[in-house]
Amino acid sequence: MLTRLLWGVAGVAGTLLAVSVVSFLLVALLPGDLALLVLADAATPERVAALRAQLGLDQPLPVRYVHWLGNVLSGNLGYAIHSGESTLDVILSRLPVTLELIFLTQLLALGIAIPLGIWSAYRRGSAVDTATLVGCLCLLSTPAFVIGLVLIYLFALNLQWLPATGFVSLGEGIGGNLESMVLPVVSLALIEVPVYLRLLRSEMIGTLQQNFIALARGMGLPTWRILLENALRPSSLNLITVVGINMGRLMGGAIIVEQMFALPGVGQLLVESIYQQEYLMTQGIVLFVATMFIVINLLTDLVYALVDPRLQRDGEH
Amino acid sequence: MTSLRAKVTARRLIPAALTAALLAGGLAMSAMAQEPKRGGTLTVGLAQDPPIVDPIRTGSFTERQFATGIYESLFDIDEKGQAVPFLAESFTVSDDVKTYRVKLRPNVKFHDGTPLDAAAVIANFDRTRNPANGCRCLSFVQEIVELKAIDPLTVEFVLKAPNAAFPTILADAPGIMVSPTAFKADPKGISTNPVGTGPFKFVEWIRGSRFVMTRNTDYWRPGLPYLDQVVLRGIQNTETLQAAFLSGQTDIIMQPSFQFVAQMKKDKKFVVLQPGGFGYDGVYMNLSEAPFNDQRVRQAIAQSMDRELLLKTLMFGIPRLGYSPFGPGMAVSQPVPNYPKYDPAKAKELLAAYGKPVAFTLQYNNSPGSQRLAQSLQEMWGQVGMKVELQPADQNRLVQNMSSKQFVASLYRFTGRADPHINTHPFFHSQFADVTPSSNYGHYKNPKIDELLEKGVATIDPAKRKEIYAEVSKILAEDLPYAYLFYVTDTIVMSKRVKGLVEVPDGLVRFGSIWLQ
Repeated sequence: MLTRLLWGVAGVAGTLLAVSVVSFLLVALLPGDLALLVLADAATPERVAALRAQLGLDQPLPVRYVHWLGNVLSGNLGYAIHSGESTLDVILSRLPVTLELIFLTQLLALGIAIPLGIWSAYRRGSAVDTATLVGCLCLLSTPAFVIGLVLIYLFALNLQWLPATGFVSLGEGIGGNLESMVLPVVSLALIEVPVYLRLLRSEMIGTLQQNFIALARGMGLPTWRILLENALRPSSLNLITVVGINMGRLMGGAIIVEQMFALPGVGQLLVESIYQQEYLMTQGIVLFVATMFIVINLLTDLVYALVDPRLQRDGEH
Repeated sequence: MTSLRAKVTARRLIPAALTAALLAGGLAMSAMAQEPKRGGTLTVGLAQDPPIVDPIRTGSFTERQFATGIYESLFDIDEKGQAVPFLAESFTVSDDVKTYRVKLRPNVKFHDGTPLDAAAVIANFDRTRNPANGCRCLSFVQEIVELKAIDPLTVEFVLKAPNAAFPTILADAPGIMVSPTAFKADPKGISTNPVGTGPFKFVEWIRGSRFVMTRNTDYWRPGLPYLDQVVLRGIQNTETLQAAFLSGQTDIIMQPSFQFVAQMKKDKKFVVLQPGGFGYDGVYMNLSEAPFNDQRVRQAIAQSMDRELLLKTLMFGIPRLGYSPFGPGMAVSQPVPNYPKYDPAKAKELLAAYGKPVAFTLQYNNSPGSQRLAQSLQEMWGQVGMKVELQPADQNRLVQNMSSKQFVASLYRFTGRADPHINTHPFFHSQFADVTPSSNYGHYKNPKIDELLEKGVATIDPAKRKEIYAEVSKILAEDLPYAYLFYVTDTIVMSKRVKGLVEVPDGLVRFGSIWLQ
């Protein structure tokens, strides 16, 4: 277990370093002079020179990288050009919204996928199984922004049951908060359901053919206990991996959905920063999200080991 | 100061504004009978959540709209597009148009209790004039040579050169008054925690979500404002912005797409306002290189653009065709009879007379709207035999390429100001032609224009100015440094329950007089 963790951490460190180089180059290799771009029509020679010095643009690239990396490691991702706020502070202030969105999305997607997956594996070929298959195909081939638009049209404009936009923070009341989250969460979760469902179903079908299930049946255990207690755990290994990887994918989905429902999360911040030419903010967000993605993958690996006892003994696997 | 020429008071502004407001409400007769009601929350949807709200770094329309409500300026633009005293009570100007004496209203206080007096005005100008603060208005405030308090409520500005546009400058960023106590205590924080004199006080700003203001109970205009609260919501996604409005989450939507405006005009549940505007969109050409160093090619560009067609299709019939640098909301706006008409046959003749093949690159802002416009123009120019390559760029890069004169032709917009001097002098005076960065992007030089521009800025009489700038438009229509497309139109769509909105040509909504039915 320990060796596995150490290898994991070493791999993560390497990947993070690569990420840092890429995020750095993202801004450093922008064609043209960053100071000129930032100042646009106000670019007098003195102001350009001052900003170049402030951003360290007058130094060679490797020196800038080392300097920048040093800052990043001490928690300084730079400052917003317009407001002068710390990039990290701004990102952290927007993070709870995105985390809530992703967490609720996973919860809803799993809440739908697990029971349906188990059921359609147990009653393979039944009407329920066929119906879920068709439903999955439809959802799989529809992008989140289409689902989002349809939901806004139906529930916000026509029926007026739920708000089209806006965000009520948890601090202002859990009811309002959940209400503002329903449509965004549903539009993100509906695309994740088919992946989880089909994966669990196929794993489950394999598990249900194993001898120990036959044994449990022979012992006369009720079906629900066999499905939930004996079959689900060994069938969910791949699901856990995919749920973990999806955390990162959902960050991507969040960009679109946050835009669409005007949720003040990290995804919306990224789009805003691009529109407002906040190059350093954009760089900070890319670095931050990539880091989160890598850390989540590491954690998934560890959870995986916890669920599968075979992986806990070093050297055997 | 030897003699005083103009004396204007602002007292007539408020009744006039209220009348206009009621008319703008659409139901002149029944609305007049209605008493404005106090209370309620107005929610406004805007195209963006700006990074900061601070007059010294305010550029875009949305940034200016966010500042309105909390901040006010010494002068304001009235519904006719003229700069009139606002926080100032009156002003006088010397014969040589170089010395302005501005008298402030008594008893105006900032939200933190600081009085608005001569000292506060001077502190504000010290802030904007300090180059270290990087005010976008720096070139305007650098016109001021001397600034002093005559008495506690009177400030005198001495300018470098005659400037009839100074009242308009005082209605723009430099004239916006920020509490000196607040910006001295926290020079950085003031940009996210604004303190002004306006009808509403800042409450909170949840970034990316909403900007909340509450009624200023000590407001200097008696009886105003009517609303308890104003909430501004910057929503970047156009569909979302429009859905929020249609579902009743916002009462007003600013700068929606023209397609949406065209739909809303047909719907009786909503009111569409289309303020005159000061600016223009056009094709800006670089006169220092081939092919645009030849007037015939520039004229061919203008005469092969079927603007009526573009207006009907891409623009949904909303904006007006442009003929001059003076938008329809400006006092000097007037027809330009000699502006070249759409005539592709004539364009072909001109190109034949030019004799060489014409090929060039057109730069444009990489938004979908500009892209469609650029592609349509490419096609229209192609039909008369010009070969056009398109080059999209992000907005800052486009601006940068223009002001450093690295372009051949660009699709570009100037949002405009109320005074014709600001719309022409930086763009067409030859003193900037070979300066980088400058707004005379295309190296345009014409001694006759220089003379007219210098005369225009030194003339106060509105009738005379109108004549001078008519002559400017006429010459520009011959020289064609720009081929105009449309005048800038910032539309406002609102629900019928919003009353008392004064339609001002700059397109900004003043919240003080608004009430909800």
